[in-house]
Amino acid sequence: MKEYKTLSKINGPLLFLKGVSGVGLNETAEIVLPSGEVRIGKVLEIDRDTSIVECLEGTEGIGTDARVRFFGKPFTVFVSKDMLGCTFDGRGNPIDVRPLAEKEVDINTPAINPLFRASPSEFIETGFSAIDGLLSIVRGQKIPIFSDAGLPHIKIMCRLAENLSRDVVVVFAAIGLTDDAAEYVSESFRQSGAMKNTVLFVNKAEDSVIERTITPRVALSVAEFFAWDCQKDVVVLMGDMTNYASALRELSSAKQEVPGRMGYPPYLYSDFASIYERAGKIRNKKGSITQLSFLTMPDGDITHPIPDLTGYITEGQILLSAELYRKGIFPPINLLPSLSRMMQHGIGKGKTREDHHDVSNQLYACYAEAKHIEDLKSIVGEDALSERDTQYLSFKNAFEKQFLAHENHRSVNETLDIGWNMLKLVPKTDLTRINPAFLKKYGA
Amino acid sequence: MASSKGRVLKISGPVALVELSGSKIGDLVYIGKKGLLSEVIRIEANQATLAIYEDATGTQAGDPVEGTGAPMMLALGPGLIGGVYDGLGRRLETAGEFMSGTGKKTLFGINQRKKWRLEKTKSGRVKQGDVICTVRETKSIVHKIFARTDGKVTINKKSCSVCETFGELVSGKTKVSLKLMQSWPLKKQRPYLKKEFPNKMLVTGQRVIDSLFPVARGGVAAMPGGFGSGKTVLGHQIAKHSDADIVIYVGCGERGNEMARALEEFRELCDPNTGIPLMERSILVANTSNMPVTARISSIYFGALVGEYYRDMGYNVLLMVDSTSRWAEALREISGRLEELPGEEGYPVYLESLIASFYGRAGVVKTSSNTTGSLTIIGAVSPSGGDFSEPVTQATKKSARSFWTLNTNLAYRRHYPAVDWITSYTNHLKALSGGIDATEKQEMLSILQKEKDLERIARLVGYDALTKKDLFLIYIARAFREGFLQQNAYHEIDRYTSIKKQQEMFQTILYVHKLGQKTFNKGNDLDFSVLSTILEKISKMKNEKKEVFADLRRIAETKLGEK
Ligand SMILES: Nc1ncnc2c1ncn2[C@@H]1O[C@H](COP(=O)(O)OP(=O)(O)O)[C@@H](O)[C@H]1O
Ligand SMILES: [Mg+2]
Repeated sequence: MKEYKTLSKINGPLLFLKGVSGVGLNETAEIVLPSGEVRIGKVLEIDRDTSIVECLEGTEGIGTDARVRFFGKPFTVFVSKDMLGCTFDGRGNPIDVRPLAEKEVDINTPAINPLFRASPSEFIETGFSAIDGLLSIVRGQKIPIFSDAGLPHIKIMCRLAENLSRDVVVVFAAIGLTDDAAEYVSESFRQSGAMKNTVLFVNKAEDSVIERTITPRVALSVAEFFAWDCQKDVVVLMGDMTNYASALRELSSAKQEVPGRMGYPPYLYSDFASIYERAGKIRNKKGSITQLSFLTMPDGDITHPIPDLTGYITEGQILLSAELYRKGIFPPINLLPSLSRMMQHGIGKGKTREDHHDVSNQLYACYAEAKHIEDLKSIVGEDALSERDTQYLSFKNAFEKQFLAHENHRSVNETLDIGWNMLKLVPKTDLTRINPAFLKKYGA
Repeated sequence: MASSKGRVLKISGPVALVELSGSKIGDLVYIGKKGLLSEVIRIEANQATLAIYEDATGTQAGDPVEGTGAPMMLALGPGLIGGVYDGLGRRLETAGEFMSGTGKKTLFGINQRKKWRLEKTKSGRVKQGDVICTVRETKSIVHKIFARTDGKVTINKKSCSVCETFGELVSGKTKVSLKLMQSWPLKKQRPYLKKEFPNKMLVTGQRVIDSLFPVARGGVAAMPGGFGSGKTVLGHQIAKHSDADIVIYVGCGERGNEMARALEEFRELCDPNTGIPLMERSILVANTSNMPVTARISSIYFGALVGEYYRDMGYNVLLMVDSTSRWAEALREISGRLEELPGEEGYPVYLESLIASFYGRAGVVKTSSNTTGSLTIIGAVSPSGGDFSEPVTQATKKSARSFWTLNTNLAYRRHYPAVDWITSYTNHLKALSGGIDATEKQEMLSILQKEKDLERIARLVGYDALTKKDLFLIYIARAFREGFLQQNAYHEIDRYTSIKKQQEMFQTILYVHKLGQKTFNKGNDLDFSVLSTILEKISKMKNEKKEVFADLRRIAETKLGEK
């Protein structure tokens, strides 16, 4: 350990320390205040004998009389199997009980060698018809929910945790959540019993912005321990990624970096990638890391850099719709612009059910057609609609109320059966995407 | 090559300032205790600024720095094909499950132990550019070794590894030992005698491309599109099915899972033109988005250099880059760290010239050894916010002869490949041989345009207001869109269509159109239920092995035409 008492300048979250030697880039630092209070920091830049340290918990109350210690290693977190059922703050400090530590791991891990990745193809049942039926997810995939302020993404995340925690380890990273949202999450985890199989990290809105940039990394390191060391299937639920990106922007401007689009740092894409790419499967290893994140789109705008860059990295996106939510549909998933890019590799015979591809294609096509007719109706009026048009409109209504909307967990079999019931509402001659053999077997 | 020693002064992210005298821009420098790879990007007096190619965590001020006095070199030789490389041309199989920095450790991308049998050896007098010997690199590729000067060749081995000397070339007083391998600077273009007009088309097996917006061998195509519009799938399709001799696929700053899928598929599939496994003609470069940004930049140069190397042997090479935007962003990131004056959207002001010179490497050339080879470049562009007015798309547009705009709305409607037929174009100066002729193409595009106009009218006044002739056109347009333009990448047969079949499909639809028009022009009516059965049959042809176009045309004639 090295200790210095040579703070020369403090600017925003950054501490400038003189006369330092033998300290490396990205190394962890401890800032010790005269009161004995200890804060954590990270070496951001080294310029000859000056080290610039980014302080995790903010620099309020720090003066040049503080001492700074270095440990010769980057930021780490202690992990163990006993973490299941426990809650931690955004840096990985236990809030309730302190589990035994098995291993100390770096929060930034090197990229998985693409050559050693196994391409994801095992279906995960989330219990939601919209997802399992039409946006199927596979182990090792990363897919975000694009939401808007006021939509029930937190509730969806909690329900996903509840359903998924039956089979897999859940790691939940709450990033910059308000007090009541954080409270809702832990309450719902406890009530649903999901907590037993969950490791929960909570970074609240009032916590420091630097901690916010650490939380997803800490959570992912824990997930990696369970997936690669313990060979478990892990699902990481995290968000709000918009809070994460805002924190990054704030830090970047404190460092006086040249800003990119809308003031976000030009490396936002690479930074997001360093988080999202920590999902996947590795050949010859049993475990997997699946990521289901969420973000609120600023102004509900999907072309805003945060959803835009996210969409460029993740394997699809699930959009929520305010219109559906207003109609009382939960989960209000906006199917048409949503996409799961790995779906086709995880469904069908031997995986879900032989008719899955066809049913999902057909439902999607019918729903798109119904939407089209609804738009038309608003232009040409109700009277101009043909009988076929009216059939489609009642399909749409039933589809939203019975297929999309449901409270309880559904198996993928149930989902597909309900899908077939919906398809009975459209003219049989329109079911062109379905193999006639399946039509006979399931559509009678 | 004089190596020099120095030390680190300042480090921040992937950029370091070091004390190092006598270095040149582009020199390879080993930095830190691990000897991480880096490159000199700026010089001031005895200080140099380095871009570091690997994760620099732990690097300290005062750490040692070693300048090699030479640029980063790549080993070119037999054994490149079939390999999977990182952005610096290192074989990924030599790294472990996780990519921690390997540092100084060899830059060798090719197997150094494997023995190659020398064939077609030529001893005695040779002229510069003559083939001294060949080795069979893979089932489909013969690797040629050329004489680099006039002189006299003696060969003393029957087989050898890439580093061994297999003979010598004496030219005047100088004597050069012959090796299968040569070192070449990563960022240096390979010379050629002259460029020729690209006039042959590169067959991709993708109908919308080959039939409407073909790319030439030696041409440049760009595919801009927002996320989910289908750039990667289309790129994979072309890489798998095109009739290039060699395909270099560069995944530049993209998804790891996608790369894994591509690797799997490339290993399983065969080239539809030759039946030989795809890996026997492919080279894959994987710089995923979470690997160091600096290596993202070099991945592009690695791809282009290897492409030129095989072009020089007379091959038609295809270089596919997904996505060039990540390269541009990496340039922006480094430029930002250097506090250069930013251009539009923060990109460096020299972005446009870099993009132009990258695409400028494409072409059909008369090589230094007097054969003809070509390098075709296809680049995906990922415009931020899906907005094509941004700098990378605009700069790319200037270089691209074929411009395939992928439309997110088409993708939402699951019309794949989502190539927008209104805004896409091909403007080769000379017509490309093969494919569909220009008037037919025009006819189809105008049918699609008319459909759009009619749809607009129908929306306002209802479909009932349309004439039968209008409806007929809508039917034909739909058959084109659904039966021809849409192509399912995951369908066993649909994923690839030969040029001949493309022509048949195209012409059959046009033929039905002509028949119908004739009937209308005579003042007769058309049986729409017959029409839709025929069009449905045509649309299904894409998924079927058996081709019965002649039959279909006959049925159309008897049922739709004059009886
Ligand atoms: N030709 C195609 N056939 C079938 N599906 C396609 C095709 N092209 C794209 N898709 C679908 O669209 C998704 C997104 O395509 P992708 O190429 O990954 O988009 P991008 O690279 O532009 O983000 C794919 O996962 C696939 O589901
Ligand atoms: Mg892509």
